[in-house]
Amino acid sequence: MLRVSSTLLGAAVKSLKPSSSAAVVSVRFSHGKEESPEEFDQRFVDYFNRSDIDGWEVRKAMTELQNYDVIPEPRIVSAALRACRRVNDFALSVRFLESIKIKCGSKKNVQTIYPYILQEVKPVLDELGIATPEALGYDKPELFIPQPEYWWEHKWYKDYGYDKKVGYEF
Amino acid sequence: MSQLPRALLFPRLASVGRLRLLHTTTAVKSGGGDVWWGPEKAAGREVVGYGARGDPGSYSDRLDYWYPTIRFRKDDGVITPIRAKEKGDWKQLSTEEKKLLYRYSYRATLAEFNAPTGYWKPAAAWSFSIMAVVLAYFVLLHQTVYKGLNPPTMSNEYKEAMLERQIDMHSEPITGPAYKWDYEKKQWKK
Repeated sequence: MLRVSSTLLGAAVKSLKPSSSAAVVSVRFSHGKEESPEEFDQRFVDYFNRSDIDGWEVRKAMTELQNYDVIPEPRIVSAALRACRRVNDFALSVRFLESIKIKCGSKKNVQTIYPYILQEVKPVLDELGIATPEALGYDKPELFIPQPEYWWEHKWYKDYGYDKKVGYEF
Repeated sequence: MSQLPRALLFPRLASVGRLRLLHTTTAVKSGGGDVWWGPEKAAGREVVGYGARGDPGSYSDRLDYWYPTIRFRKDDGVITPIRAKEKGDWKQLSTEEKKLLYRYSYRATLAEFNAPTGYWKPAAAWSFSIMAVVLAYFVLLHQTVYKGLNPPTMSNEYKEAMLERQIDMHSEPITGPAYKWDYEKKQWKK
């Protein structure tokens, strides 16, 4: 697990060992045992590797992973991509690759850690035929997404097929 | 500034008559809260996922809940054959089909989500318009209402007399007139 805070500049990949003081704190104040980074990884990998996983559960695990201040380790990414293959959802796999960029955070991290993860999971991408967002041209904005509460041109109705409806003739 | 018409913003309101709007009491709603249009907006979409709260709702792109509950578009003649193809080997999918699969599931990519919208321009236009109107009104008042009504203390003669008096009284000897005035040569210090 890359337990690097997204806001941290500097070191790209760093594996933290639980320090002795943290262990003492966990004994005193927390219930049960503190999860080590390896156990964290294993938990997600095991979840994604379940053979009877469905689309709802894949998204739930991904959302949960998104909630941690963590850039997922390549083995979690591989397991998640394989889970997408098992539930036959291609769009979800591309979406998940984009979420890694969100978790990388700063521009510098996106330029260093994201290519590293892609390079590590490349065998899986090639095996499953998953295209990266860059290969689809999604690293740059493709469409403009209008927000009608702020601004709406009358000529845009035509683009959305509203010109055939009553009350939208302009 | 043009906005969506009422019929599009409130479809159900458009179908009931205008008279309904005049009623002073609101209809009783279950839960007592506001009307939630999620199910109407989501109608026909495949419910696929977890979303923000783990229940089927409306579509929204959010960075913290990156996997929406429903697909963005309904299944139609274009996507159904591609969905069937998706069950097979993904290497057989062309780039166009891959992009269609993404676009039918999600509205905006990450790059589009992060892109600047340009809506600061209408906001700036409104702000500067209001400031211009206020400034024009201010100038108008000064040209008409307050013309010639300045208090005597604002005249040059009064200000010069006040300065002379300050020099005579040796007032403010560190930073003020008494410091800057040369009392021996009877002139301002160079």
